[in-house]
Amino acid sequence: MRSLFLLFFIFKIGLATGQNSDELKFINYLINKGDYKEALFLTEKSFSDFNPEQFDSLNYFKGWAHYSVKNLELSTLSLLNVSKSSPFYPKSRFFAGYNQIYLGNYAEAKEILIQTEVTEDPNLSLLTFELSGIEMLEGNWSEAKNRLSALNQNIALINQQIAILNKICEEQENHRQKSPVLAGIMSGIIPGSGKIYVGKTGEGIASLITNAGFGLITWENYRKLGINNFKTIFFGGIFIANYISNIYGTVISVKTIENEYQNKLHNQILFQLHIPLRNFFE
Amino acid sequence: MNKKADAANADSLFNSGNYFEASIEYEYLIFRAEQPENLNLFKYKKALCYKKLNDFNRAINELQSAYFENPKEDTLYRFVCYEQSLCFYLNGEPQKALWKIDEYFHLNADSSLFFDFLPIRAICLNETFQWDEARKCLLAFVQMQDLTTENKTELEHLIHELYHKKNVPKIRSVKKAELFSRIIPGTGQIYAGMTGEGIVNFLINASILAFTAHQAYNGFYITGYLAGLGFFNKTYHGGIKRAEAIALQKNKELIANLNSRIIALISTGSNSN
Repeated sequence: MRSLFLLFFIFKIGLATGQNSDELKFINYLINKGDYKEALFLTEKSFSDFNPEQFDSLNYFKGWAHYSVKNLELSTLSLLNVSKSSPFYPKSRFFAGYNQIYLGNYAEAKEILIQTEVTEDPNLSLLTFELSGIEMLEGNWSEAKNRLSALNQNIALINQQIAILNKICEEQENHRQKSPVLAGIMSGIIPGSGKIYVGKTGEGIASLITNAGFGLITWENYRKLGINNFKTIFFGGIFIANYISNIYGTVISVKTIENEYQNKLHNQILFQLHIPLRNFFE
Repeated sequence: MNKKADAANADSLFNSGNYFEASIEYEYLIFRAEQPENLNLFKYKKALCYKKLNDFNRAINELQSAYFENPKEDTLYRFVCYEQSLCFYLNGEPQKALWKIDEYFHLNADSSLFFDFLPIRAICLNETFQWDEARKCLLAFVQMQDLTTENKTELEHLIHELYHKKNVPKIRSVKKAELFSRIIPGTGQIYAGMTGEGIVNFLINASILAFTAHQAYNGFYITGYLAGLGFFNKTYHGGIKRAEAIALQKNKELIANLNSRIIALISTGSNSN
């Protein structure tokens, strides 16, 4: 009787494990199909009879589905629950780190990556590469360069990205921010020239034409009707408002352009950090 | 998710209105592929879930993935074609819906099976301004209904009335609206059905032109050219674009109105059945 019960118990466990693995396969199938919402719905269900290995897979799938729909915080939480024994461990850790980089949580990203247990290449180089990217995003350019130069250049997975990050470092070193005062003065002397100086040529030419147009109208009315006439005052008012707003706009645009430049740099770095992760793990 | 691939459970979820969960269950049945003979049926039901969720694109994709070796003999093919054409229409693609219906008609010699398709076909024909075809389609639909001769005659009379020259929607040509506004600002809007807006637009443009002429006449050439014509350029071209948009909008409203009358007519016919 006892042995019969034991046999039945083993059979039940075997059956449950088989069914669980089938469910995991189905979740994986949904993720591969791009049905992330459906996959996430399934991962939220209760899986009390899962073994640790299956839980690791479940957490990985959950993290990956969240990552795919850009729920990066939730993705990180799930990916960090994948244990070291899982074959998904390195990918989960790297992507959890990348999620935090993307979210701008650089300290958390560093912590995740540093605590990741990798001992050999290419994972080790990939780790250093990601850390150098974080240094760049934090504005520690010299530290980033040191890390990049310490990397093994012979690893095909990252050698192109290393070159690009080095180039970005150089660009940043040579980058000089435009002066808002100079741009404002230039726009004061010749309307639109300040915008051309900061790199917005089209906007500068448009400003020049508009200002010249209102200036000419004001001049014509002033010449024919005198300073006290309503039309001269009306068009003169528009001209002055346009002239002043153009100077103000030029000064503001210097800051906008600098922000645009920094955002472009930021996105370039993020993109370069992402490429080897996708190439290596997919 | 039910651990066993279970069609009954999927159907029960569908019937209780849990369409999202039902779609997953049907996908699980497709994934398990334990009943290959029912694969198309599961795809069809999954598409119905998406339709209920107003996700017509996914419904169409699901239906398009159904493969029929012998469509003439498979009864499910008819339902798949019907749902596909309906989803195309609901997705704002009447041309594709018509194409699907015609494909089905072409494959089937038995016209008694066309019954369900005819209202969708008529509505889609209306969307593409094919009044005569739409009228014929609706008349055929009435003929196929199980109604008394009196009811049939009454419905046919209503259909003829609906598609009479004086009742048929006056579709505004977008090109004409644009051309009218180009020649005389505001007339495009009047043609498209917005008389008040057209008059206001005409007055604005005329005032600016009058200002320009007045300035030039008094020797203020720069003011006239830059302030007058510069401003006129904006209102003139803006008016042309607005006339096009109004014509498009008006056409949509007219078709929607006609289709809602047809749907009401079909419902009346079904009720008197």
